[in-house]
Amino acid sequence: MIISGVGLGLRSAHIKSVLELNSDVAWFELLTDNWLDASGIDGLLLDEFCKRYPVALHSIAMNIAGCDSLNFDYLSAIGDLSNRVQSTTISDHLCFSQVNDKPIHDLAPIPYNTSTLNHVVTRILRIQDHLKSTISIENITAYVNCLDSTMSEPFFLNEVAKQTDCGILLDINNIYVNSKNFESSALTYLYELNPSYVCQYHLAGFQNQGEYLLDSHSSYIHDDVLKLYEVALMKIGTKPTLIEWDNNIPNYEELLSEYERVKSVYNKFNSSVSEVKQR
Amino acid sequence: MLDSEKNYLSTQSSNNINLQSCNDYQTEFYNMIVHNDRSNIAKYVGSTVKWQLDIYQNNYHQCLFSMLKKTFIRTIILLEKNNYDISYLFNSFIKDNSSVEQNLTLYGARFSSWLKLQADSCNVMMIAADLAMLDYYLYQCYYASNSPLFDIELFLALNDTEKLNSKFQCIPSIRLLKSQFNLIEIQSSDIIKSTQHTDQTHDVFHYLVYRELGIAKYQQIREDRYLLLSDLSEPRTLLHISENSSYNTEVNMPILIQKQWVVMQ
Repeated sequence: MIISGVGLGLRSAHIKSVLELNSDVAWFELLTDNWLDASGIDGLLLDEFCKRYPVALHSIAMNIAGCDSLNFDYLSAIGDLSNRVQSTTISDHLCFSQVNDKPIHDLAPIPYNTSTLNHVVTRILRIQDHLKSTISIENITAYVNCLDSTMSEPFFLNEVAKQTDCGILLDINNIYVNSKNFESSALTYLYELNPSYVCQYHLAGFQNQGEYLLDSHSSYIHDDVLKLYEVALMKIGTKPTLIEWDNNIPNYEELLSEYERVKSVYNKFNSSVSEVKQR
Repeated sequence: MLDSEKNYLSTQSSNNINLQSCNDYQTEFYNMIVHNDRSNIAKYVGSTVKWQLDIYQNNYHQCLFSMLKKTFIRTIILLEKNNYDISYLFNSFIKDNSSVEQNLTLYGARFSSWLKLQADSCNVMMIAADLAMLDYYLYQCYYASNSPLFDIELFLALNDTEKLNSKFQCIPSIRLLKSQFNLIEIQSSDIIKSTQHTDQTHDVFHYLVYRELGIAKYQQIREDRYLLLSDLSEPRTLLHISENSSYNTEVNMPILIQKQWVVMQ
């Protein structure tokens, strides 16, 4: 099923509430790694859930920019899950998450240069070939800058998308956090991206640690991030938008109020686009 | 557009992939996160302030710590009741055991044996080690894959020879544990009393971990049933298990079938 409008990241704490309330949410994102081979009660809930809602799959361990061999068993499991939940959207991150077959349980940045670009392009083509589907790649929060970088991140993303036909999953919060931590321009970032490659947005809350911002997914979306989202909607266009909330998870009603807040921003731009088209 | 970016566009076709530097960087990044070795990372990311690298180390540590906390629920209660510093134990375990699997549910596999190594002659730690194994099995049981239901009609339609030659195996969610401690009693009573109890007996307790309506549960079982289920971790013919008198197959097999703890291969 195709996703559109505003969606929510499904967390196990909410799954029963969503089903009981028969929530009016356009779509949900599943953290792929939590649902591979889902069985028992989880499996039953998953199957019931996916009958009711379109879902997107978002994974963390494809190790797209890693130097280890690709894990084709993992990719096959993602493919199986995608068939099971009838998802047409598969995404992961532009990062490495494993070294010498050992996980770091995090998303780590790579230098952006010619070598890594060719490397990432080759791996994404292999991944897509194996999955028989295009994927989307997400920009991550980076807390270090790689000295070997010779390209900007948006340039790198554009080139990857151009050469592989993959989409860009644009995390607005990550752009904002990185711009504050490294004193760069979030607007320049947005303007450098080719809008036609962007296929989805992610929004989340960060934590202000004083010295730096932490991409914690643990709070409401900051007003400044929502403003940046509005710029993205204007400059890039309305795309399916997801709200992520992974830590200090609120009750479902509270999450729905955040959902409505984002939806009103999205609808404002979506309807103005429709109006322009109608004229 | 940066000059280097323009350069890339004009020269990309003749570019040779040289990933050695990126590979070295990723190895150093791993060493920084997992082994707290920051000696070479500056070569790749320049000079950093403390929080930058701390974030990655903390994320990794927290990820493993939370998984241990989520898995070893009963073990934590027992150790805290006996004034052990559970955070210290988990932190020490993480230091000794880096994560080797992307699938975090497997991270606690070595915790029980690690606790045994810390135990020396300490009875509480020995009990905790067995309880940790039980906790780990319960966690694994919950996430184990489904299996088809036992087709009793198909089995009954077989002739006697076919029945004897048909192979049986435990379903994937079954786990078995043997302990010298009464883990059920220990959890509901005072630890010192339980320790005295275990000092006085040479009993062996057998436990079965299973899944019922999606919930992982455990119960104490008889030794003959334990032995039979252990053997059925591999596919076995009915003939094979019937020949072993210690399995009490005639009594136990109908129960295992009725409970849907075995499948026919």
